[in-house]
Amino acid sequence: MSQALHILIKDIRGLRWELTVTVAVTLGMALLQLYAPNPALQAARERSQPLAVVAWVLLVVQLVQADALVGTEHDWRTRPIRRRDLVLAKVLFVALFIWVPMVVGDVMVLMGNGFAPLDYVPGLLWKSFWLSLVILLPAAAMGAITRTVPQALLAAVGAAIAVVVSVGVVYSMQTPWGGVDWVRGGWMGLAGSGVAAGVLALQYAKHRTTAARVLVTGGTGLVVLTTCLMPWTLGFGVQQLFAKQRMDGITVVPRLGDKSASSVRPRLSITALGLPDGYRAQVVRGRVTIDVDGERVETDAFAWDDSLFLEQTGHRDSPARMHATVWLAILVRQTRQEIDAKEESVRVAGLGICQTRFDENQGRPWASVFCRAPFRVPALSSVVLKTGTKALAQDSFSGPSGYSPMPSVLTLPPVAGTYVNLRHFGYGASPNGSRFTIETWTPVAYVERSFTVNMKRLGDYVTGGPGR
Amino acid sequence: MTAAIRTENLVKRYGRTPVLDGLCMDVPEGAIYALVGPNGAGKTTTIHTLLNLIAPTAGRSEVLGVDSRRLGAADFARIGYVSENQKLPGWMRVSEFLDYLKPFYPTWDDALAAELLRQFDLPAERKLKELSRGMRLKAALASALAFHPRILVLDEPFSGLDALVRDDLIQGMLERADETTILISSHDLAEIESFSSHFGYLEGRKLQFSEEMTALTARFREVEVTLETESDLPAPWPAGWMPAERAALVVRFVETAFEPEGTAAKVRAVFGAVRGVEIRPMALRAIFVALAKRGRR
Repeated sequence: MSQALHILIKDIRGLRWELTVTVAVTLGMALLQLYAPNPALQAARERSQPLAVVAWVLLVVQLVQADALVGTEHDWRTRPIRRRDLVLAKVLFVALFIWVPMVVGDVMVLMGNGFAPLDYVPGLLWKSFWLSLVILLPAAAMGAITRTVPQALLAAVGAAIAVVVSVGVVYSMQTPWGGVDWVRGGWMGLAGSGVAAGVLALQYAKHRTTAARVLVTGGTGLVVLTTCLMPWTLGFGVQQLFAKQRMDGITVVPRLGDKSASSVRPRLSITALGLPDGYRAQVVRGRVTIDVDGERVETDAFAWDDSLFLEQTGHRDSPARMHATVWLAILVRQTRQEIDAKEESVRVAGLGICQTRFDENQGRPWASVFCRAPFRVPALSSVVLKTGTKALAQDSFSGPSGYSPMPSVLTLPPVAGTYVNLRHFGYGASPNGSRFTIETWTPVAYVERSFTVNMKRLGDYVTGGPGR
Repeated sequence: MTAAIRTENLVKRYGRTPVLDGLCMDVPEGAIYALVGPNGAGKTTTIHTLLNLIAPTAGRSEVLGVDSRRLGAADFARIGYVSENQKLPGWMRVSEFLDYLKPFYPTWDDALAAELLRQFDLPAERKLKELSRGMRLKAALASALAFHPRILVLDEPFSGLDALVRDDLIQGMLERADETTILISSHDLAEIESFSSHFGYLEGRKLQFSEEMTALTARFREVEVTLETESDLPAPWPAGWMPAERAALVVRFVETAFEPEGTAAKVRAVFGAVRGVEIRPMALRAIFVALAKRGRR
């Protein structure tokens, strides 16, 4: 341990300017987020986040290369320096000058937004841990297989572009995974950090630079490949492992589309039966096989609200047999809270803090709700503005955008917000006596159901509807 | 005498390119062992393998009885290493560098470190990156001597240095030679000859021979024979003689197994009547050049 501290002090002295800049950028980013409502700081706030990532990556690369692993000429290689102490010194350095400032910054932002940091310790820790896995560990791996900072940056940027482009292209060709997408993202992060950890282990334990470089290239390719080719059923299976309860008695009934359209694009509205009170189903995705005119059409269906949408099939007037598998998230109402429209800020249990506003612009009233929550986007499901029993305006969402069980989502701001603007209600509306009703729903179970439909005309299921 | 350094059938290939092919070498404890060979002979590869900086393709080596592949922190506390290409932390001042290294070595000697700074005329407050190459090598040598190493490995330490710096380095090294085994690879044969106790000649990816300096210089002789008439060289050419060079009546060659009385008799037996025979001792440099020429042939 004393050796580790000795190396740590050496690294602090050697990288004193770099670490000062990094800590300043990290805390500066937090300060900018503290003044989030100020539009004048919007541009600086947006730029501070990528800047902080670049600062962290640079610092980690320089830290690793301070006791470089590539080549035989570095003095430390023939000194009595224990590898475990060297690694421990580097970890301590990262903890002191990246984790601690980041957590301090997050605590500042949480407190500035009215949240008690002690209530969000898992989120604070998870964010540091996850950032370490997906940003710092790969940065260290790049530092460990290159000789100079420009080389490491070039390798990191090249790898990042290759990953983002290939994953982006493949994702755009696939049916969206909806709220389950965190499984693919989580796998990519975990597997990528596994590759990075392997590279660091190879270099620190064996100094096998060529093997480590092969591992980076092959491992990154393998991670991208397995992420892109991950079967939906596997992703949903993983999601089911995180279900909070079992929901066995649910059946689904498809309904006909009720609009005609010139193109044949079947839509299946799904109704889930057997749900207890306070529960509802959210369609996540579907898989449909249609037997029509002696042909078999197999296609994935993407979900929107309570419906599945298929690509164009043709065969408008032909009888058809449709077999479908549908994957559902079962949501339970988490919060239903009424807020006086004149209240400016109120804490909503299970959601965060919401600010309401009821104002007038050129004689036309408008109302808005801005909710903010630590470490994840507030899962607002609906906002209704009522005066007495009369609904003036409302907005609703199909449910939470993601079903990730992680205590924080990997977004850099520790507090994220959702803004709902309610307009188009009558002149003369007043905040007096008006109330907002805010609802949130949270997923508790994930089920897969199948059904078969025999149709006289495939066109009966034709509808317009959102495009992909 | 036990071996402080030993290699057994050491093989190293980079892809399909062989660099070492079955190298066997013993460096006796207490020796100042000069590892000599032409460029690309594998001297640096040998040293890197010994110090576990690279892995051998086959074979093994050991330093102070420890397999090179298993050399750990405790072993490096007894090994000093200086190389012409060594990268020191340039941002550190000389004094900071020595202060940084001190806690890693249980046998670090503050007084010796201070003495070496003085002896090498090293500016303690200058940053390593601001030093000349020679001064950086001196700093590296000071850091490698200040903990009383059992073994000191020097890889081409004198190459490109001016005579003054070279003398300083050699003097600093020799003053501690009595407690240390030294392995030195160098092209500077004239300097090596003056202080080496053993000599290993590496060529053709193998150690061609390895022996004590006194035995080596004793068995190599340049022989110049002046013939009576221009006749062909005798055949077969004796095994212990290197190929001859000839100019008119004069034939020159190197005898590799000189015996004070036997060599002259052997010359007369091989050549018959000759006008004259001159047998001269050879400097290490001349031996090295002769060996290198033979290797190229």
